[in-house]
Amino acid sequence: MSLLGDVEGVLQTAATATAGTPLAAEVAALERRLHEPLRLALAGRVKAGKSTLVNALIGEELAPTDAGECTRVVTWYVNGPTYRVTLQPRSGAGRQVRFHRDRGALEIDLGSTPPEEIERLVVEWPSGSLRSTTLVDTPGIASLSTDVSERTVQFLAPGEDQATPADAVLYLLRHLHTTDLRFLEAFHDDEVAQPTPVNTIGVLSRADEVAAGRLDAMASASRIAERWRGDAKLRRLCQTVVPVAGLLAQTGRTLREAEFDALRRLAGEPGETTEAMLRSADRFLAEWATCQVTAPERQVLLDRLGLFGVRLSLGLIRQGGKSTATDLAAELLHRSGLDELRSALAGQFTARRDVLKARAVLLALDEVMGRAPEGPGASAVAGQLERIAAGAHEFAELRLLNALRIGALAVKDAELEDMERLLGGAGPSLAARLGLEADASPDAVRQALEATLTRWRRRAESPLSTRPVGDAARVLVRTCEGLLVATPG
Amino acid sequence: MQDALALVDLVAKAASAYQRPDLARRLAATRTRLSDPAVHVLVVGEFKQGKSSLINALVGAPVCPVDDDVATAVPTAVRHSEVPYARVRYESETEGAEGDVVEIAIEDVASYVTESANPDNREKLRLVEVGLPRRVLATGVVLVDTPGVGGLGSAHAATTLAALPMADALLFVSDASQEYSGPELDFLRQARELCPEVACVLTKTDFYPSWRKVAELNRGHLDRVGVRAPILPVSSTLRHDALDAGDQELNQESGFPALVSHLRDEVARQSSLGVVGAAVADMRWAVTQLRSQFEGELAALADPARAQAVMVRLEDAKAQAERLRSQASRWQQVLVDGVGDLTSDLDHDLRERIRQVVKEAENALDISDPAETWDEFEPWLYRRTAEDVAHHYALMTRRGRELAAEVAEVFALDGQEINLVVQTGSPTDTLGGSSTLSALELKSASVVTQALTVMRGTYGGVLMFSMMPTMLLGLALPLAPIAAIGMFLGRRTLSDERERHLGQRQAQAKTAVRKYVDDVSFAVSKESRDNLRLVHRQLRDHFTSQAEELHRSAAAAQLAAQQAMAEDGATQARRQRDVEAELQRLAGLSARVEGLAGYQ
Repeated sequence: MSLLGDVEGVLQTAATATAGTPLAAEVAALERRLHEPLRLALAGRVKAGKSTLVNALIGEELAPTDAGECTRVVTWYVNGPTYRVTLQPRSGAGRQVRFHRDRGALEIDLGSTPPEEIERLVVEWPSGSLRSTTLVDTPGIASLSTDVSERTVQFLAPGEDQATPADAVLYLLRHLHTTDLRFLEAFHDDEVAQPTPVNTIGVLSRADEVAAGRLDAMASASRIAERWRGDAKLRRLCQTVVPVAGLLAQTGRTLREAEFDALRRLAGEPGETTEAMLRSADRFLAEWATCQVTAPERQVLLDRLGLFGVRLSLGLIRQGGKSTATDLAAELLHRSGLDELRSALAGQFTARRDVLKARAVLLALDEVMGRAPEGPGASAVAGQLERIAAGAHEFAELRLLNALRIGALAVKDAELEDMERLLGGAGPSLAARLGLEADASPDAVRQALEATLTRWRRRAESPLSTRPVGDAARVLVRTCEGLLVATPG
Repeated sequence: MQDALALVDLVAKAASAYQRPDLARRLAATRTRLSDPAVHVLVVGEFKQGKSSLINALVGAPVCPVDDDVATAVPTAVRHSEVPYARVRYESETEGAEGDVVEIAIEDVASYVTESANPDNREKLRLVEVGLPRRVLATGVVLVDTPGVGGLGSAHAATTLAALPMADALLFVSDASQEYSGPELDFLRQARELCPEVACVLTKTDFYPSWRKVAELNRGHLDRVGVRAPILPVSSTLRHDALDAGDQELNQESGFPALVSHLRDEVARQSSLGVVGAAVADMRWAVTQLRSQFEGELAALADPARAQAVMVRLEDAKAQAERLRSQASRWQQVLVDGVGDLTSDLDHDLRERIRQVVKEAENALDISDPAETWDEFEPWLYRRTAEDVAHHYALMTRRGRELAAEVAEVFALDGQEINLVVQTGSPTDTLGGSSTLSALELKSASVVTQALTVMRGTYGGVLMFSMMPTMLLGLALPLAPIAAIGMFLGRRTLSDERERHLGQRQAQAKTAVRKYVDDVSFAVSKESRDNLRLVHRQLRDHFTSQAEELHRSAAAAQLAAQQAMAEDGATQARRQRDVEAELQRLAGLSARVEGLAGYQ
């Protein structure tokens, strides 16, 4: 029986057990949640670029972004049939609020409700990008107004007995700060697995600013991300670290013809002129008598691309042969690192979507049932919950992956890498799990898989293996067996 | 500053001419202090905010390594020097000893100070010093680039905080990508209490179009927490280009001229007020010593009838000066007692603070499970300890100054008696006969007293001031134990032991706390004791040499008077005219010194 089937089973038992009580609605909500898209929260320090990345992922400028601290309320972006914004206060029923969209970001009219009394805003928006994933934008931590930070902590790491509403987290870092580590450490739970790097991906955000505007910024950012991936502290806290230039990604997905036209005209100016203009943001916006691009146009370019983006675009148009808006947008997107982020998301989260959701739902159900009155129904639910948590191979894999990440297993580095890969740490495809090239022949894959299975079986049975290693090997054997069944031939 | 230097030279020349090499030596020391005043400016901020770039752009040379990723791990001090140099100072292995100093090539600085070349400062470097011939630094500004690793809430920030009471000024660096974060503002709020001059530098203004808005937001935050500091927006990149191209306009745009003038006009001037003030006091002292030599002689010459009385008083003065320089003098007692008191007070202060920290820590550990709370507890402990250490150092600086002032006061009081004797009793009945003298007397009523009084105000501060460089180098919180705790009581170990007893975990955590706090208190008490020894020695040397000089003046005056009395009338009359002329010249010099004092 599949994991989702098991979870549905326990939800049904719970529905029967709580029928007629106030908890019934909560159980029903969990049932719905199981079939909803994965909830991906974006978190990080203030001004880490969360809203910009939300926009880039959606492919539209929805979340407002600004030089000052901007996001003050937890905001959900959900795929929906119509455009609608709902305000959910901490107490009382949600109500629809008015909003308007003026050339980009949404302006939401909160009416008289102060931010601290809003639990969340739900923005429903018909969007293909939101179909598989619901995005949750959170206020920054280490904010000057502690209650704003508090809202994020409340949302993601609500404390002892409460489950977090998010299934997975993108954590945006600009630099590695102690508050980041502390926060990431707080965002975990102990039920299914201890500190859970499996549902967190680190993002080195604002990667275009790493080198203060030099053109090799992205290379530099990749180097930093690479180092962070190897950092023992971060390894324990997230799956991987991906550099992303949020602004480039956002604009790459939403580049307008008019903007491209302005860039093209700017690229037509003599090199010395543009070099002098691009010396600083102030100069770029100053009066340039001979320039074919007006100051307001330049203002737009700077807002949308940043100094780095403008420099990059000019280079791409002049030397890179990007002669249409589509070409340029695609290249900007490519350079922004958004593709890598999406494939990391697909590999780490989407492929495990059911497991992550099941995990979140089970945690939430456990919390709900903790408030239910004692009775045969409740203990049936508890029994089933425990059986799933202990028995499901998917959770065993998650647990093992976590154990590997936090370094709790005493094995050699090479073996550690093998194990992580086999569990899908480098990507969900069979070839990636076995450490083969993507174009390996089916035969080679099958052979490698069988060899791997034999190796772990031997390791599991070896009297020389310590108990934790033996347990780990047994999990891997089951993983291999499962893969073998799913492999044709 | 140049005026002051010229005048010091002039007074020193006079001292040599009047056969007072001792005074000339003192003035030579004054000159050195004046020409190299050493104004320590700490450059502080979260990491990767462009601190090193800022310093490089300021001095127009790549002295601090800049990298997109790696950060500075060892503090680097950049100061003025005609001959460029770079040297590395190591931690000393043994207590009380200075660490090794090794000369290195300026290009190699990077390989010593960066995080990657020297992770967690394994090489045990204390400081890297770089000297460069730069006008910006010529006013004595010493820029100290601090490690920003780990963020402001971390242990590194603690070290920085602890160094603040010794610094003359603070440049707080943040980039224009965003307004101040919570930890940054917390740091500024604390810094305001520990350091007199704070300025906020907003970097990377070339890159962030909305830097004006960020500056405005920061202004608002600073006002809200009551930090009165200017915000100086700068762009190191533009400054660099401007220096390369010799482009004045671009340099203006980079915002650096404002920063330079802040360093020169506010920071350096504030502390040069102190240095010039001290120089004025030194010169007053020297001129007064020279004058008193002649005044004794003149008193004897002007009224031969009372010459004998003058001679007796001069003899007395000499004897008193003798006493003043002896071990048994009152100021020596005050100094020795004061240092003793200070030592025990500081000891007590530190112990009390540490005890409080331990108490709070243990209370917190008693009511919680360290396995769950250690993550928040550990940073709290570092922060808490660092704050206390900073306040401890602030107390040391303040009390050191007070002690210097107190000793100066006693010295002046005892010196005053000598002075009265030199001036001879009541001016009307002793010196009334000579119109020249009474005119002189009005002006010079108690020049020596003045000079001694001046010291009360100035020397206390300045003596401490001249010690600061050493103190600043001396400051270090032990960082190694912090890493050790992490390993010893890290989350992993704790989670693995979840089944074990809570009590055992608590005891383990408490042991770790006590070990850390012990290490801190050991290092800090060693620092403060070393510093006190330095204070003691400097004050003793200073006042001993002043006593010597007084003694020498009295002896010279006596000798001159004796010789004058032995001459015949005509020679005496000639001599009197000479002496009056000398005194006129010295009065002129005195007026110029006072002019300098007034000019400040």
